[in-house]
Amino acid sequence: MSAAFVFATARYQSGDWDSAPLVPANLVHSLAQYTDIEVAPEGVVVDLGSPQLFRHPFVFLTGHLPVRFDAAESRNVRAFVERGGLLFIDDHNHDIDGAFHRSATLELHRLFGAAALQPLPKEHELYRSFFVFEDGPPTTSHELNGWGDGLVHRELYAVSFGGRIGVLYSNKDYASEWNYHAVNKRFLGTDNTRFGVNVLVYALTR
Amino acid sequence: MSVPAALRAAVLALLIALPFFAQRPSRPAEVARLGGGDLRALLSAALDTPPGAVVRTETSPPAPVELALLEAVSARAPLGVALPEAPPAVRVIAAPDRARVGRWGAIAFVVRGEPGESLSVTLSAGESVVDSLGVAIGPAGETAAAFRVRPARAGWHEWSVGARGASASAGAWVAAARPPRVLLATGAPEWESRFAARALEEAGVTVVTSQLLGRGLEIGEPFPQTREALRSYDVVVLAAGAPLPPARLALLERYAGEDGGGILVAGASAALPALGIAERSRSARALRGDALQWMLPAEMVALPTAAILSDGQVLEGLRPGAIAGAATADGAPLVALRAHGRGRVAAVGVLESWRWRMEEGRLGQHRDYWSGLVDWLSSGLRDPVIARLPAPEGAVGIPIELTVHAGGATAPSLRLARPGRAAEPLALVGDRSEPGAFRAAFLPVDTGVHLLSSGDSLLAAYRATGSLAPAPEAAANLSLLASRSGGAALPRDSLAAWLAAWRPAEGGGAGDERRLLALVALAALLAAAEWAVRRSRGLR
Repeated sequence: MSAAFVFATARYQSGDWDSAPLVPANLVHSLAQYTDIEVAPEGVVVDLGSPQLFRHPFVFLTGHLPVRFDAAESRNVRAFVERGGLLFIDDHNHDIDGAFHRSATLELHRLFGAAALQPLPKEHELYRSFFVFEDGPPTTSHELNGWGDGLVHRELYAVSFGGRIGVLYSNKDYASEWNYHAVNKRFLGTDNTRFGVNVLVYALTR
Repeated sequence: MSVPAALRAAVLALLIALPFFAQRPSRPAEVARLGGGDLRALLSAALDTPPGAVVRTETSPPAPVELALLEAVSARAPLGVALPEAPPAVRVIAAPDRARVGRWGAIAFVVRGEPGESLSVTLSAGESVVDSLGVAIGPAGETAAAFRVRPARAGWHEWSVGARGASASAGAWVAAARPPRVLLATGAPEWESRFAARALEEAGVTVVTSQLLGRGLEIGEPFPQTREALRSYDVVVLAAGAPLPPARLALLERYAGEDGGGILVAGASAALPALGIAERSRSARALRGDALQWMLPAEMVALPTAAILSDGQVLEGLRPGAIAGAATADGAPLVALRAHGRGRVAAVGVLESWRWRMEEGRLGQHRDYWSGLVDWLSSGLRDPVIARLPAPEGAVGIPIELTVHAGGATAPSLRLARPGRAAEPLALVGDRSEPGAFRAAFLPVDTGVHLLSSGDSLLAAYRATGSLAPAPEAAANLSLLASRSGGAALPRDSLAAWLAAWRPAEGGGAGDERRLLALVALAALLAAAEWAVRRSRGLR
């Protein structure tokens, strides 16, 4: 057994759960680079409908295709959040009229109620948990390039439980933003995974 | 003296003595039947004209004062007493100690029954049943267990433990208290301290974190640098990996030892030997959640049995005074608890309790496990002046001696507020055998709660009741008295038969009448002799 943080990616029955396979390595690298948090070098993939999900209080979920949780996945997602886990869902389409966004938000409404998913104000502590993002969530290059719906999304959304984020939902396509080969990180003027560090530090400390 | 004069004197003496013989009862005039608490009747039997016999029909053991009166009565009349019935089905052995609002306490009890029998035991507050549990009676015919209570308001609390139609009461004064304030000091973030903070906050505990992120960054408050700053916390939790430089360790030792603070040490730490808990710890193989043995104090909650694998540290070389609160299947300590000066310290080697919450969904038990730890740790002697009573309640008329601990050689100002009366000063005498300790005493004369305070601080409370506690060895001494008095100790339903048999056999009235008649005849005979002597001598 080890207390090291393990980055977990959710595998779900519908859609394309593995559309951003390089995200875990980049975020794990950044977490180790910027903090003293003990990190497992390899991430894991956990089935959303299996008991393995509960061994990892932080789970990342992304995809392009429509999402429909089956009964076991629905039950687990609800229990995961109620027990204190943090599920980070990112729309890999970056499209508010896209299949992923429409289906994923519908699933969240179904599981937690229509009013549960609320915008996060830019003053939220998520934006100060390690690096400071005065303007809220950092913009992605895919937004600036006009991909997807061509919009720059100003805020993230969350389902909160007990005053803390249980589900963090993003339309900003961080999956694309962080899904580069690790060696290319050196070409970035500003490390774009810094907000990922914030998400992970928030999950580990709040 | 002449013979006539001597005879006259003898007659005169007999006439004077006759009334005294006449006062002895010619028959057993009455039989006093006494209840256990009927002290007025007992006093009357002891002081007034004694009855022919005294019967005590109560089966409860007598109090010391009743036993003393029965002893006086037994010198004057035969005593028939009912044998005590079987011990009560349930008795309370400990009420919550130093109970405070919102903190866990325990009511320990013993319940009797047939070996192997399963019983339901209830806990009531007022008319309501507030908790219940099932117990299995052990081979000795009794089992000890405890209820956990968490009083919601200050003041005197009364509970009743019931089993098999019997009940026993427990009372305790609950002091007002704010929620515990915990400083959670960690190294780099990890899941255990994150979920511990959540559990404690859910339990109403105020949690302040002091957490290192690396690169000189810190979350929450910096770790306090002075005792005064540290004293604002009830408990300090040193999570696994929390930095502990020598100066901080020295500060923590004084915080627990002298200021009564509580410290929880998770995992390997230099604090283990410094706080007198254990020599060291070593990494355990993955702990199986269904193989842990828990031996925590009753007011604490164990993690439930679950098929979980957790990271852990086994404690080695437990120091004297430290008790194991949990162990691996082969007996290696995982949790240890002990007093440290005025405070309390604990070491925990179960380093991933969060798995009980996430993997098994045991949110309530995980929360109670952490809040139980914090409540126990925060029950050190934090006030500068501490008063200790022998018991939280007892009967009026019994002197109460208490011990007061203060920081120095000067006796603190102590006041006693009797029920419905203004506070009065209470004299303290230094205890030569223990520096800083003082003795005091008071006599409760009214039923109700007696409050002891020093300055604005309420130190302790004592509730005086109308009922008296049994005398030591009461049943045995009662049987002895009955035997010595010529009476008997019998089952309650046999006392009537004993009385019926005793009256004709022991009735001394006829003998007394005969003695009285003989005395009168002797006096007449002596008077006749005196008259005859005088006539024979020609005297008038």
